[in-house]
Amino acid sequence: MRSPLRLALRSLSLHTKLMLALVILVALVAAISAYVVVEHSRERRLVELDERATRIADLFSRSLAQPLWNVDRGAIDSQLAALAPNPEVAQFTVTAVGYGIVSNVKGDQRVDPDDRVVRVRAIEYDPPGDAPREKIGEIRVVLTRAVAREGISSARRAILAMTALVVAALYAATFLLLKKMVRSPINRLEEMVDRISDGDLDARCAVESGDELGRLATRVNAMADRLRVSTECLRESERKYRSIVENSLEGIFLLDRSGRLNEANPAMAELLGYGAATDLITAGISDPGKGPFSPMQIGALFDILSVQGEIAGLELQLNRLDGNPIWVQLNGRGLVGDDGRPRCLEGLLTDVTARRHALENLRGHRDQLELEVSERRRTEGELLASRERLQQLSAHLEAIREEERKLIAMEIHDELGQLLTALKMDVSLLKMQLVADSPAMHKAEEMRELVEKTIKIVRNVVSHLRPAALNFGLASALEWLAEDFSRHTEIVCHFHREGVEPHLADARATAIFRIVQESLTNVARHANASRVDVTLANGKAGIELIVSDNGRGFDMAAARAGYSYGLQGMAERARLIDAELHIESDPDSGSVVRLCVQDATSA
Amino acid sequence: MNRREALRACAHVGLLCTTNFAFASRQPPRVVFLNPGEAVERGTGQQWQLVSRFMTVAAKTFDIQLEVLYAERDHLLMLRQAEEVARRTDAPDYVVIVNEKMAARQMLETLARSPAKVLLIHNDLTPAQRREIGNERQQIPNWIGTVTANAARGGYRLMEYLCQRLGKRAAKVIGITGDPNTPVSLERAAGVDALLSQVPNARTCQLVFGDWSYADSDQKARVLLARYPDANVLWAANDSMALGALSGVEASHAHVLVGGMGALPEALTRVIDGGLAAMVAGDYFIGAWAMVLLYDYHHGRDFAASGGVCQKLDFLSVIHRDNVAQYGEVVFLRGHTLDFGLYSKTMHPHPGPYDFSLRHILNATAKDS
Repeated sequence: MRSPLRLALRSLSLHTKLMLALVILVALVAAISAYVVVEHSRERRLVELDERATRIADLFSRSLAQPLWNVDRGAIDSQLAALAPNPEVAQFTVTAVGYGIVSNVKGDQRVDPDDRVVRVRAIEYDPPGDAPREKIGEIRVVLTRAVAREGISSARRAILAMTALVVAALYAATFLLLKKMVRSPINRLEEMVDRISDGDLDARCAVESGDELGRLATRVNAMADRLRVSTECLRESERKYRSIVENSLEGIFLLDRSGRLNEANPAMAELLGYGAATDLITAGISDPGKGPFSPMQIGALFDILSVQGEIAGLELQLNRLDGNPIWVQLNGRGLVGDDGRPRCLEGLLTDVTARRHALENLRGHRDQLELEVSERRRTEGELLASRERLQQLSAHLEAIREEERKLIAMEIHDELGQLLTALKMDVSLLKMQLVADSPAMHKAEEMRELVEKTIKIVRNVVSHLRPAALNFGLASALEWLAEDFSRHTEIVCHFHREGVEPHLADARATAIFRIVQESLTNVARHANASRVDVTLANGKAGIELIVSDNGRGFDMAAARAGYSYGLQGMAERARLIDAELHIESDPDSGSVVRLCVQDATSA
Repeated sequence: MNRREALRACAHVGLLCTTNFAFASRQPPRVVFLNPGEAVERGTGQQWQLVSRFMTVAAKTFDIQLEVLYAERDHLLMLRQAEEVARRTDAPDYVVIVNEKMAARQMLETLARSPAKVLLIHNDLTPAQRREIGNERQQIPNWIGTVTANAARGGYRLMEYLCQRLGKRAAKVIGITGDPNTPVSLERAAGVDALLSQVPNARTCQLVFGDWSYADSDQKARVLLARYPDANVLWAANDSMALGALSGVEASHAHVLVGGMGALPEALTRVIDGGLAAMVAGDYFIGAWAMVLLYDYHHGRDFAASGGVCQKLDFLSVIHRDNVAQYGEVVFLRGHTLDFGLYSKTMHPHPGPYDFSLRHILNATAKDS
């Protein structure tokens, strides 16, 4: 029941709805007002009737006192008769005390007992003087509500008639006003909107007022303006994008779930070997099996879409119209339908057949390269092993050389030194036998000098081969080296020792000594320094040896590039004793050679 | 009226006056009585017919031409009648008027234009009226006198009799008097009060004013008897009211003595049958007494010398069960034979004021019978 009514209401015009609402509202208000007014009027009339009855009774109770006292029935009757014609009067009864009814006046109306308003008042005579008031009778006033009810009903009719008249007048006036002020403008507005919706974007509404309808017309006009602009933009945009799609080198298509191609661009058609996009689309429609995608592929594509929402870089093999297979790369995204599942696939197809072939070639090359790399690695391993062995060999050779030097120095010192010393003693003995200042003497002197020189040379050779001080510990050797350096060069060299004397294996002490020796040699040769400091520190962390000078320094990179065998030798020696060698130098700021030996006791 | 008519009227009046004076002593005097009552009894009692009747008897005795004009209880008609009399070219010698409904003042003023002498009877002017128009023979010279019954004495005598009847019982009196605007109703009540003030334990329960009617009095009696259950005397100011009060008393089954003023035949009948205890009689002779005075006046014996121009005559008598039979017979059965000449100072010269006591005519009639 409610639905047809709602439909009927919905199909009504605005004017009718407004009028209907107004009628309902006004009728409601009018009905309530009328009801209130009628009720108020009824209440007022009944209250007035009650009050009137009371007033009449009170009036009679006073005015009848003298006539009743005087038993002046004429006066009583005339008083009662004066009010009796009142249509509301049903009965006036005057009774005297002990006697009964003195006067009784009845109205014209027959009174229903329920409709009566009865007031009874005592009539008291107030005698002159101080005598008390004396009740001499009663007045009984009976009024009927019938007249009031008639008045109420006629008032009700009048109020209802007036209300109906006002409602009708209001309705008519509002109808005309609404028709002129709302319905007609709306009709014109509707007509214009219809024209605009039919495509006539030049149609404009006449703005007739400044009210809501006028503003609506203005807005409709503005909307039409914007619509026209946006339509033009849309067309331009469509043209642009259509051009992009048409001219795209990639195949663009729209595929629905059933496998039908809804859209395809020329590149797509060309990709698949069709003459035009329409041929591709119609081919799919006329024979669903002949579409570019097989049903299995379609199922797989939509499964991916269901899971991921998009397809990125999926490569597929498709068949061209001429039956040749091609590889394509598909990128696309799904258009979700009302059921939340992908309804269509918007995709881009790129022909990757050539790329695929190139990739396959690359894979072949890669495999070959991998073979070569593995061969090279094997060779590198062998090289490393070889170098290891070389290093071991080098260390061994160094050890042997140092040992040989040591042996040679001892041999020379012990054997040759003894001989030369004996020779010198012999020469000295010879001289004592020769005449002073004789040629033999001179010869002997020259011989002694030669022997002295030879002894010095021997000592130098021995020291050079292996300083004797090295046999008394590294510190003594370094101290000797510093003094020797100062003596042979004009560069002041100081040795400093910090900590206790380190106990090092002979090979390590020799290697360290040789590194310091090489460093001092470099200083003497290249640094142009005036002072060199050699510091041996033996701490908890290990042994640290520092050789620093105040010379001109050198460029490390240049030094390395220049294949400095001195530096390389230092590094090699350090490596052999598992020490770290750091050389720091900047031009014009001297140089520092720092050698750190981690574990002093292990070697 | 134009000048010619006025002159003619004056001539007529002058001629008539001359004629009247010339034949005054020989021609029987003419009297017009403006009777306020009804020509035929219609419910307000026979009072005024009786007044006219006994006036007529007296006129016959004195050889006076009496003309009675009935106003039918309509004082406006009475005023018109007075106007008519005053306009008469052949004016009467005397006009007798009544201050019915306070109309006497206007009538006196109207009749002042007439040559006729005016005698006011039954109801005197009120003091207020007298203040306005003065007294007899003053501002209105042709108003020669006033004759009224001494109503107070009537009331006094009635109550005196009723108290006698009560014996030792204390009198508790209800009075129903007439219209408060009519002086006589107050005078009658005053007489009653005068007597009661002299009787120990006597008390007036209530005095009420009535409209002189039977029904009103009946109603009043019923209500007042209910209001004062111990009342034992009830008096009313005229016949009708006395009969009405009696009706009320009978309806209330009260043991109350009922008396009244005025002794009309109907009331006398109830006196005879014991319903009414007493009635005060004689009011209706006032016209006859007026005729006596006018007769004497006309014959040169001005009543002003015998009691004054304003005579309040004490002639009212109580009629009770003992004398009612005689009174009824004399007054009503043989009323036309009454000899009012007994009272005339012209016919029976005697000094002093007039004595209109009824016993004279009652006795005379009794002797005749």
